[in-house]
Amino acid sequence: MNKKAAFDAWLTTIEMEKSGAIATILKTDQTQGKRNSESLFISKDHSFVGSLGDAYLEEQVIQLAKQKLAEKNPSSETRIFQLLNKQEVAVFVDVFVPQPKILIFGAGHDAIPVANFIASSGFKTTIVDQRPLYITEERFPDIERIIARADDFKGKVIIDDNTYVIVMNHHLERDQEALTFALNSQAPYIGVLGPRSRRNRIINNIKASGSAVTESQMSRLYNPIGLDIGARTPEEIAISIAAEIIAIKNGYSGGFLKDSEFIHHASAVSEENG
Amino acid sequence: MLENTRVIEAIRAARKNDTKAALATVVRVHGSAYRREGAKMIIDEDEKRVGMISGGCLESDVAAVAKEVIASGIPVLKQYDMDEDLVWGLGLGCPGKVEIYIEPIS
Repeated sequence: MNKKAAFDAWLTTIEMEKSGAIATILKTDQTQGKRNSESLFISKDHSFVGSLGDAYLEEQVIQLAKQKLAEKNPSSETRIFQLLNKQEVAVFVDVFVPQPKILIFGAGHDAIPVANFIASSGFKTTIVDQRPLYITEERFPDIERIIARADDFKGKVIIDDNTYVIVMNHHLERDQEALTFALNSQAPYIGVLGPRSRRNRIINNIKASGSAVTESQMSRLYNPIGLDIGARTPEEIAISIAAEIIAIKNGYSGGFLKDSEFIHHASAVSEENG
Repeated sequence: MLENTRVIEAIRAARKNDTKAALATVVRVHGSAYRREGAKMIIDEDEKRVGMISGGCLESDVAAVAKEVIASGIPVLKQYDMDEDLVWGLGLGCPGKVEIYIEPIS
Protein backbone atom coordinates (compact mmCIF):
# COMPACT_ATOMS: atom_id res chain seq x y z
CA MET A 1 0.00 0.00 0.00
CA ASN A 2 2.63 2.52 1.05
CA LYS A 3 4.78 1.16 -1.75
CA LYS A 4 2.25 2.37 -4.26
CA ALA A 5 1.95 5.80 -2.64
CA ALA A 6 5.72 6.31 -2.72
CA PHE A 7 5.89 5.14 -6.32
CA ASP A 8 3.03 7.45 -7.33
CA ALA A 9 4.72 10.42 -5.67
CA TRP A 10 7.90 9.52 -7.54
CA LEU A 11 6.09 9.38 -10.90
CA THR A 12 4.40 12.71 -10.26
CA THR A 13 7.72 14.34 -9.38
CA ILE A 14 9.27 13.14 -12.62
CA GLU A 15 6.31 14.34 -14.63
CA MET A 16 6.43 17.73 -12.97
CA GLU A 17 10.17 17.90 -13.66
CA LYS A 18 11.11 18.31 -10.03
CA SER A 19 13.95 16.68 -8.12
CA GLY A 20 13.20 13.70 -5.94
CA ALA A 21 14.41 10.29 -4.82
CA ILE A 22 12.80 6.92 -4.16
CA ALA A 23 14.41 4.41 -1.84
CA THR A 24 13.43 0.76 -2.21
CA ILE A 25 14.52 -2.16 -0.06
CA LEU A 26 16.00 -4.78 -2.35
CA LYS A 27 14.75 -8.10 -1.20
CA THR A 28 17.24 -10.89 -0.79
CA ASP A 29 16.53 -14.45 0.26
CA GLN A 30 16.82 -13.47 3.92
CA THR A 31 14.34 -10.65 3.68
CA GLN A 32 12.02 -12.33 1.20
CA GLY A 33 8.62 -12.72 2.69
CA LYS A 34 9.47 -10.73 5.80
CA ARG A 35 9.42 -7.40 4.10
CA ASN A 36 6.82 -6.47 1.58
CA SER A 37 8.47 -4.33 -1.05
CA GLU A 38 8.81 -1.16 0.95
CA SER A 39 9.56 2.19 -0.60
CA LEU A 40 10.08 5.71 0.62
CA PHE A 41 9.86 8.79 -1.55
CA ILE A 42 11.90 11.85 -0.59
CA SER A 43 11.26 15.18 -2.33
CA LYS A 44 13.81 17.93 -2.80
CA ASP A 45 12.09 20.02 -0.14
CA HIS A 46 12.30 17.03 2.21
CA SER A 47 8.73 15.85 2.33
CA PHE A 48 8.24 12.09 2.52
CA VAL A 49 5.75 9.56 1.21
CA GLY A 50 5.72 5.89 2.17
CA SER A 51 7.92 4.03 4.61
CA LEU A 52 10.76 1.53 4.83
CA GLY A 53 9.26 -0.05 7.92
CA ASP A 54 12.21 0.78 10.19
CA ALA A 55 12.81 4.23 11.67
CA TYR A 56 16.56 3.74 12.15
CA LEU A 57 16.96 2.64 8.52
CA GLU A 58 14.81 5.50 7.25
CA GLU A 59 16.92 8.03 9.09
CA GLN A 60 20.07 6.81 7.32
CA VAL A 61 18.39 6.55 3.93
CA ILE A 62 16.88 10.03 4.18
CA GLN A 63 20.28 11.46 5.01
CA LEU A 64 21.78 9.85 1.90
CA ALA A 65 18.86 10.97 -0.29
CA LYS A 66 19.11 14.56 0.97
CA GLN A 67 22.82 14.56 0.27
CA LYS A 68 22.25 13.28 -3.28
CA LEU A 69 19.44 15.75 -3.96
CA ALA A 70 21.79 18.59 -3.01
CA GLU A 71 24.34 17.43 -5.60
CA LYS A 72 24.45 18.93 -9.07
CA ASN A 73 24.64 15.67 -10.96
CA PRO A 74 23.68 12.89 -8.54
CA SER A 75 23.75 9.22 -9.44
CA SER A 76 21.38 6.49 -8.35
CA GLU A 77 22.99 3.93 -6.10
CA THR A 78 22.49 0.79 -3.99
CA ARG A 79 23.88 0.99 -0.47
CA ILE A 80 24.01 -1.54 2.32
CA PHE A 81 22.62 -0.25 5.60
CA GLN A 82 22.78 -1.85 8.99
CA LEU A 83 19.71 -2.12 11.18
CA LEU A 84 19.92 -1.80 14.95
CA ASN A 85 19.93 -5.61 15.22
CA LYS A 86 23.00 -5.64 12.89
CA GLN A 87 21.03 -7.14 10.06
CA GLU A 88 22.14 -5.75 6.70
CA VAL A 89 19.68 -4.40 4.19
CA ALA A 90 20.36 -3.32 0.61
CA VAL A 91 18.49 -0.16 -0.36
CA PHE A 92 18.41 1.25 -3.86
CA VAL A 93 18.20 5.03 -3.90
CA ASP A 94 16.99 6.20 -7.30
CA VAL A 95 17.50 9.92 -7.82
CA PHE A 96 15.73 11.99 -10.42
CA VAL A 97 16.85 15.46 -11.37
CA PRO A 98 15.04 17.45 -14.06
CA GLN A 99 16.19 17.38 -17.63
CA PRO A 100 18.76 20.08 -18.32
CA LYS A 101 17.68 22.81 -20.69
CA ILE A 102 19.38 24.34 -23.70
CA LEU A 103 18.75 27.82 -25.00
CA ILE A 104 20.10 28.68 -28.43
CA PHE A 105 20.27 32.26 -29.64
CA GLY A 106 20.28 32.34 -33.43
CA ALA A 107 18.24 30.13 -35.77
CA GLY A 108 20.62 30.13 -38.72
CA HIS A 109 21.32 27.15 -40.95
CA ASP A 110 24.05 25.82 -38.65
CA ALA A 111 21.75 25.94 -35.61
CA ILE A 112 19.60 23.15 -37.11
CA PRO A 113 22.02 20.27 -36.36
CA VAL A 114 22.95 21.85 -33.00
CA ALA A 115 19.31 22.04 -31.89
CA ASN A 116 18.41 18.61 -33.18
CA PHE A 117 21.45 16.70 -31.84
CA ILE A 118 21.13 18.33 -28.48
CA ALA A 119 17.38 17.78 -28.21
CA SER A 120 17.80 14.09 -29.03
CA SER A 121 20.47 13.85 -26.32
CA GLY A 122 17.76 14.60 -23.76
CA PHE A 123 18.03 18.35 -23.28
CA LYS A 124 14.84 20.38 -23.28
CA THR A 125 15.72 22.69 -26.13
CA THR A 126 14.55 26.21 -26.93
CA ILE A 127 15.66 28.43 -29.79
CA VAL A 128 15.39 32.22 -29.94
CA ASP A 129 15.59 34.46 -32.99
CA GLN A 130 13.92 37.63 -34.14
CA ARG A 131 13.49 36.42 -37.72
CA PRO A 132 10.20 34.52 -38.20
CA LEU A 133 11.38 33.12 -41.54
CA TYR A 134 14.28 31.33 -39.90
CA ILE A 135 12.67 30.13 -36.72
CA THR A 136 10.09 27.80 -38.25
CA GLU A 137 8.65 24.48 -37.17
CA GLU A 138 9.89 22.93 -40.38
CA ARG A 139 13.50 23.76 -39.50
CA PHE A 140 13.17 23.06 -35.77
CA PRO A 141 10.56 20.36 -35.18
CA ASP A 142 9.97 19.39 -31.53
CA ILE A 143 11.95 22.40 -30.34
CA GLU A 144 10.39 25.30 -28.49
CA ARG A 145 10.67 28.41 -30.63
CA ILE A 146 10.61 31.96 -29.33
CA ILE A 147 10.50 34.89 -31.71
CA ALA A 148 12.02 37.75 -29.78
CA ARG A 149 14.22 40.79 -30.08
CA ALA A 150 16.62 41.78 -27.33
CA ASP A 151 14.01 44.12 -25.84
CA ASP A 152 11.67 41.15 -25.38
CA PHE A 153 14.18 38.75 -23.79
CA LYS A 154 13.27 39.73 -20.24
CA GLY A 155 9.60 38.93 -20.68
CA LYS A 156 9.84 35.94 -23.01
CA VAL A 157 13.09 34.10 -22.34
CA ILE A 158 13.91 32.27 -19.09
CA ILE A 159 17.42 31.18 -18.14
CA ASP A 160 17.83 29.34 -14.81
CA ASP A 161 20.76 27.51 -13.22
CA ASN A 162 19.89 24.39 -15.22
CA THR A 163 19.95 26.13 -18.61
CA TYR A 164 22.94 25.82 -20.93
CA VAL A 165 23.15 28.73 -23.36
CA ILE A 166 24.57 28.78 -26.89
CA VAL A 167 25.04 32.12 -28.64
CA MET A 168 25.26 31.73 -32.42
CA ASN A 169 23.53 34.60 -34.18
CA HIS A 170 26.34 35.24 -36.68
CA HIS A 171 25.63 38.89 -36.02
CA LEU A 172 27.86 40.98 -33.80
CA GLU A 173 25.17 43.20 -32.25
CA ARG A 174 22.68 40.39 -31.67
CA ASP A 175 25.39 38.23 -30.14
CA GLN A 176 26.27 41.12 -27.88
CA GLU A 177 22.64 41.52 -26.79
CA ALA A 178 22.19 37.79 -26.22
CA LEU A 179 25.45 37.54 -24.33
CA THR A 180 24.62 40.53 -22.11
CA PHE A 181 21.33 38.85 -21.25
CA ALA A 182 22.93 35.45 -20.63
CA LEU A 183 25.81 36.78 -18.55
CA ASN A 184 23.27 38.27 -16.14
CA SER A 185 21.66 34.87 -15.57
CA GLN A 186 22.61 31.81 -13.50
CA ALA A 187 23.42 29.74 -16.62
CA PRO A 188 26.23 27.26 -15.84
CA TYR A 189 27.42 27.42 -19.44
CA ILE A 190 27.39 30.17 -22.05
CA GLY A 191 29.01 29.07 -25.30
CA VAL A 192 29.75 31.68 -27.92
CA LEU A 193 30.39 30.65 -31.52
CA GLY A 194 33.30 32.27 -33.30
CA PRO A 195 36.97 33.00 -32.70
CA ARG A 196 38.53 34.50 -29.59
CA SER A 197 39.11 37.89 -31.25
CA ARG A 198 35.40 38.23 -31.97
CA ARG A 199 34.52 37.30 -28.42
CA ASN A 200 36.95 39.91 -27.11
CA ARG A 201 35.35 42.50 -29.31
CA ILE A 202 31.90 41.64 -27.96
CA ILE A 203 33.10 41.69 -24.35
CA ASN A 204 34.79 45.05 -24.91
CA ASN A 205 31.59 46.42 -26.42
CA ILE A 206 29.60 45.21 -23.41
CA LYS A 207 32.06 46.88 -21.04
CA ALA A 208 32.02 50.07 -23.15
CA SER A 209 28.24 50.16 -22.89
CA GLY A 210 28.65 50.49 -19.14
CA SER A 211 28.09 46.89 -17.93
CA ALA A 212 30.72 45.28 -15.77
CA VAL A 213 31.79 41.75 -16.67
CA THR A 214 32.90 39.85 -13.59
CA GLU A 215 35.38 37.01 -13.30
CA SER A 216 32.58 34.63 -12.29
CA GLN A 217 30.69 35.57 -15.44
CA MET A 218 33.79 35.01 -17.56
CA SER A 219 34.36 31.59 -15.95
CA ARG A 220 31.01 30.41 -17.35
CA LEU A 221 31.81 31.72 -20.82
CA TYR A 222 33.04 29.11 -23.30
CA ASN A 223 34.78 30.41 -26.40
CA PRO A 224 35.86 29.18 -28.84
CA ILE A 225 32.92 26.87 -28.42
CA GLY A 226 33.09 23.07 -28.47
CA LEU A 227 35.41 20.17 -27.82
CA ASP A 228 38.64 20.15 -29.78
CA ILE A 229 37.81 17.56 -32.46
CA GLY A 230 38.73 19.62 -35.52
CA ALA A 231 35.06 20.08 -36.45
CA ARG A 232 34.46 21.81 -39.80
CA THR A 233 30.98 21.10 -41.13
CA PRO A 234 27.83 22.33 -39.32
CA GLU A 235 27.14 18.75 -38.23
CA GLU A 236 30.65 18.21 -36.89
CA ILE A 237 30.51 21.53 -35.08
CA ALA A 238 27.13 20.56 -33.61
CA ILE A 239 28.62 17.32 -32.26
CA SER A 240 31.56 19.24 -30.82
CA ILE A 241 29.22 21.69 -29.05
CA ALA A 242 26.89 18.94 -27.80
CA ALA A 243 29.87 16.94 -26.51
CA GLU A 244 31.22 19.96 -24.64
CA ILE A 245 27.89 20.60 -22.96
CA ILE A 246 27.43 16.94 -22.00
CA ALA A 247 30.95 16.90 -20.52
CA ILE A 248 30.27 20.02 -18.45
CA LYS A 249 26.88 18.75 -17.28
CA ASN A 250 28.48 15.49 -16.12
CA GLY A 251 31.52 17.17 -14.60
CA TYR A 252 34.03 15.75 -17.09
CA SER A 253 36.80 17.49 -18.98
CA GLY A 254 36.55 15.68 -22.34
CA GLY A 255 39.40 13.95 -24.17
CA PHE A 256 40.07 10.39 -25.28
CA LEU A 257 39.06 7.40 -23.17
CA LYS A 258 41.76 5.34 -24.88
CA ASP A 259 43.84 3.50 -22.27
CA SER A 260 41.76 4.81 -19.34
CA GLU A 261 41.15 2.28 -16.64
CA PHE A 262 37.58 3.42 -16.01
CA ILE A 263 34.87 4.80 -18.25
CA HIS A 264 33.00 6.69 -15.53
CA HIS A 265 34.55 8.52 -12.60
CA ALA A 266 31.66 7.52 -10.38
CA SER A 267 32.13 3.83 -11.06
CA ALA A 268 35.82 4.21 -10.27
CA VAL A 269 34.93 5.77 -6.95
CA SER A 270 32.32 3.18 -6.00
CA GLU A 271 34.70 0.37 -7.01
CA GLU A 272 37.29 1.78 -4.64
CA ASN A 273 34.80 2.09 -1.86
CA GLY A 274 33.71 -1.48 -2.44
CA MET B 1 17.03 10.87 -18.83
CA LEU B 2 15.02 11.10 -22.03
CA GLU B 3 14.85 7.30 -22.03
CA ASN B 4 13.43 7.19 -18.53
CA THR B 5 10.83 9.81 -19.43
CA ARG B 6 9.58 7.41 -22.09
CA VAL B 7 9.47 4.63 -19.51
CA ILE B 8 7.45 6.80 -17.13
CA GLU B 9 4.99 7.55 -19.92
CA ALA B 10 4.68 3.81 -20.58
CA ILE B 11 4.02 3.15 -16.87
CA ARG B 12 1.22 5.73 -16.91
CA ALA B 13 -0.22 4.21 -20.07
CA ALA B 14 -0.13 0.68 -18.63
CA ARG B 15 -1.97 1.87 -15.54
CA LYS B 16 -4.55 3.74 -17.53
CA ASN B 17 -5.26 0.77 -19.77
CA ASP B 18 -5.23 -1.66 -16.83
CA THR B 19 -2.39 -3.58 -18.43
CA LYS B 20 -0.29 -5.62 -16.03
CA ALA B 21 3.39 -4.76 -16.20
CA ALA B 22 6.74 -5.04 -14.47
CA LEU B 23 9.46 -2.45 -14.07
CA ALA B 24 13.10 -3.50 -14.36
CA THR B 25 15.69 -1.14 -12.90
CA VAL B 26 19.48 -1.40 -12.93
CA VAL B 27 20.28 -1.11 -9.22
CA ARG B 28 23.92 -2.09 -9.04
CA VAL B 29 26.76 -2.18 -11.54
CA HIS B 30 30.27 -3.52 -11.07
CA GLY B 31 32.63 -2.76 -13.91
CA SER B 32 31.83 -1.11 -17.20
CA ALA B 33 28.25 -1.96 -17.98
CA TYR B 34 26.62 -0.06 -20.83
CA ARG B 35 23.78 1.28 -18.72
CA ARG B 36 24.18 2.77 -15.27
CA GLU B 37 22.20 2.57 -12.03
CA GLY B 38 18.73 3.95 -12.52
CA ALA B 39 18.29 2.78 -16.13
CA LYS B 40 14.81 1.35 -16.58
CA MET B 41 12.73 -0.87 -18.80
CA ILE B 42 9.04 -1.60 -18.52
CA ILE B 43 7.68 -4.90 -19.76
CA ASP B 44 3.95 -5.42 -20.02
CA GLU B 45 1.95 -8.66 -20.02
CA ASP B 46 2.04 -8.71 -23.83
CA GLU B 47 5.85 -8.58 -23.54
CA LYS B 48 5.97 -5.12 -25.02
CA ARG B 49 9.10 -3.33 -23.83
CA VAL B 50 10.01 0.32 -23.45
CA GLY B 51 13.46 1.46 -22.35
CA MET B 52 16.86 -0.15 -22.16
CA ILE B 53 18.76 -1.74 -19.28
CA SER B 54 21.83 -3.06 -21.08
CA GLY B 55 23.44 -2.95 -24.47
CA GLY B 56 21.00 -5.61 -25.62
CA CYS B 57 22.29 -8.71 -23.82
CA LEU B 58 19.90 -8.82 -20.89
CA GLU B 59 16.64 -7.51 -22.23
CA SER B 60 15.27 -10.89 -23.35
CA ASP B 61 16.13 -12.67 -20.13
CA VAL B 62 14.78 -9.83 -17.99
CA ALA B 63 11.57 -9.89 -20.01
CA ALA B 64 11.19 -13.59 -19.21
CA VAL B 65 11.70 -12.91 -15.49
CA ALA B 66 9.27 -10.01 -15.73
CA LYS B 67 6.60 -12.42 -16.94
CA GLU B 68 7.01 -14.44 -13.74
CA VAL B 69 6.99 -11.27 -11.66
CA ILE B 70 3.76 -10.13 -13.29
CA ALA B 71 2.22 -13.54 -12.59
CA SER B 72 3.42 -13.86 -8.98
CA GLY B 73 3.29 -10.20 -7.93
CA ILE B 74 6.58 -10.70 -6.08
CA PRO B 75 9.62 -8.61 -6.99
CA VAL B 76 12.87 -10.30 -7.97
CA LEU B 77 16.45 -9.12 -7.62
CA LYS B 78 18.41 -10.72 -10.39
CA GLN B 79 22.19 -10.75 -10.66
CA TYR B 80 23.93 -11.12 -13.98
CA ASP B 81 27.62 -11.87 -14.02
CA MET B 82 28.55 -11.52 -17.63
CA ASP B 83 31.67 -13.25 -18.76
CA GLU B 84 33.62 -10.57 -20.55
CA ASP B 85 35.19 -12.85 -23.15
CA LEU B 86 31.93 -14.53 -23.97
CA VAL B 87 30.00 -11.28 -24.20
CA TRP B 88 32.63 -9.45 -26.19
CA GLY B 89 33.02 -12.53 -28.35
CA LEU B 90 29.35 -12.26 -29.24
CA GLY B 91 29.88 -8.63 -30.05
CA LEU B 92 27.29 -7.48 -27.54
CA GLY B 93 29.67 -5.32 -25.59
CA CYS B 94 28.26 -5.29 -22.10
CA PRO B 95 30.62 -7.00 -19.70
CA GLY B 96 30.54 -6.60 -15.95
CA LYS B 97 28.28 -7.59 -13.13
CA VAL B 98 24.83 -6.07 -13.09
CA GLU B 99 21.98 -6.38 -10.64
CA ILE B 100 18.46 -5.74 -11.85
CA TYR B 101 15.42 -5.31 -9.67
CA ILE B 102 12.22 -6.41 -11.33
CA GLU B 103 9.03 -5.36 -9.58
CA PRO B 104 5.36 -5.56 -10.47
CA ILE B 105 3.53 -2.32 -11.14
CA SER B 106 -0.18 -2.08 -11.47
